[in-house]
Amino acid sequence: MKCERRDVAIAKLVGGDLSRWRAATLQRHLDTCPRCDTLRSDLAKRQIAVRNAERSFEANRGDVIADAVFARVDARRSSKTGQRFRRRAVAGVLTAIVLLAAVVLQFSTVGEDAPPQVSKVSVTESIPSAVLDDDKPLSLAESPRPDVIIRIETQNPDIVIYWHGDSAGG
Amino acid sequence: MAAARRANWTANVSEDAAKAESAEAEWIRLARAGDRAAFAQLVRQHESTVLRVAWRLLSDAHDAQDAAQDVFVRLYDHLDRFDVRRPLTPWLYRITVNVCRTHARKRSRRSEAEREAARDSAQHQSNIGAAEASDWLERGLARLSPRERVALVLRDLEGLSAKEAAKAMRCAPVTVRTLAARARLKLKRLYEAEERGLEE
Repeated sequence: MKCERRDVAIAKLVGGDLSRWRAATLQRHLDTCPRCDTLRSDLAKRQIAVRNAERSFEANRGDVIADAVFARVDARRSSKTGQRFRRRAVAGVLTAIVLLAAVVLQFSTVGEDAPPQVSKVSVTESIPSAVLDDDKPLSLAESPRPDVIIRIETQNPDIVIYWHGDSAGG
Repeated sequence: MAAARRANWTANVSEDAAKAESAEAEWIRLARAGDRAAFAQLVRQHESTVLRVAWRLLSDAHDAQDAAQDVFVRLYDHLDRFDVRRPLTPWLYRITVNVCRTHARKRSRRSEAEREAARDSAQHQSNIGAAEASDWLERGLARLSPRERVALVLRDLEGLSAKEAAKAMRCAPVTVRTLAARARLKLKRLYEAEERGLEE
């Protein structure tokens, strides 16, 4: 076993951290090695000193700590309430803004989607030129029905609607 | 005869421990219901353990008190989730180790001057351990790595078993044994060096 590992094993033995079998094996070595045995006894002495190094604490700090804990818990709770209120207020304001924007958009698009109001309607009739070109005289029954063209002008000068009704009534 | 006396003594000790645990469970139940006096009783019962461990891990009375407050605030927060059938002490050890680790990390970001000022004011104001600020043990603990320090404090100073210390440190018991052994060796070498220095 290397020295470093053996030293760690001796420190474990002193702390009661070795299994019974390993402790017995190490003890056999300690019986024959003065260097390791000295290390063991030094560590054991130091171990006792460490265990005896008890610190004196004031016994009645419990109330001080408890009061400090309650103060922190209360402060945190009130700040949490404030935070919750602020968060809700911000959420409410944001919702109102979104709703308002939606209403404004709705009304502004109503005007754009609605058809422009009609300002003028004119109706013209025209006889198909193909019929008129024929020299053959027409009886009353055969006389052609004229096409009807309805022109609807709106208040928007860009929008003019034409409706063409042909002689067949289409 | 001796065996019977020992058995009787063991029975008495375990009876006392059971009574203390049932009282603790009752305080936890009351504290859950909002009884602050019961919570203060819990704090009184465990404050010396928490303060002692925190002080040994942080080497600073002011930081130790802050850490102890943090530990008990966490206890207050987790009362509802705590299983009253289990003892409180192992849980407190674990939380103390975690909180002290966080405090040590925060402290490492502070300047040395700030640390010195905090230590001085804490020693003047605090009732705990002003006279022991230059304790040889503290000097030795300060030289150990954080994990070695925790292992030594829990194993040798608090007297926890390797298994209990491992639970508090969230590692394997074999790791605790090795860390504590290395810490013992380091402490010994440090004191030998100091003694040699004094002799020279």
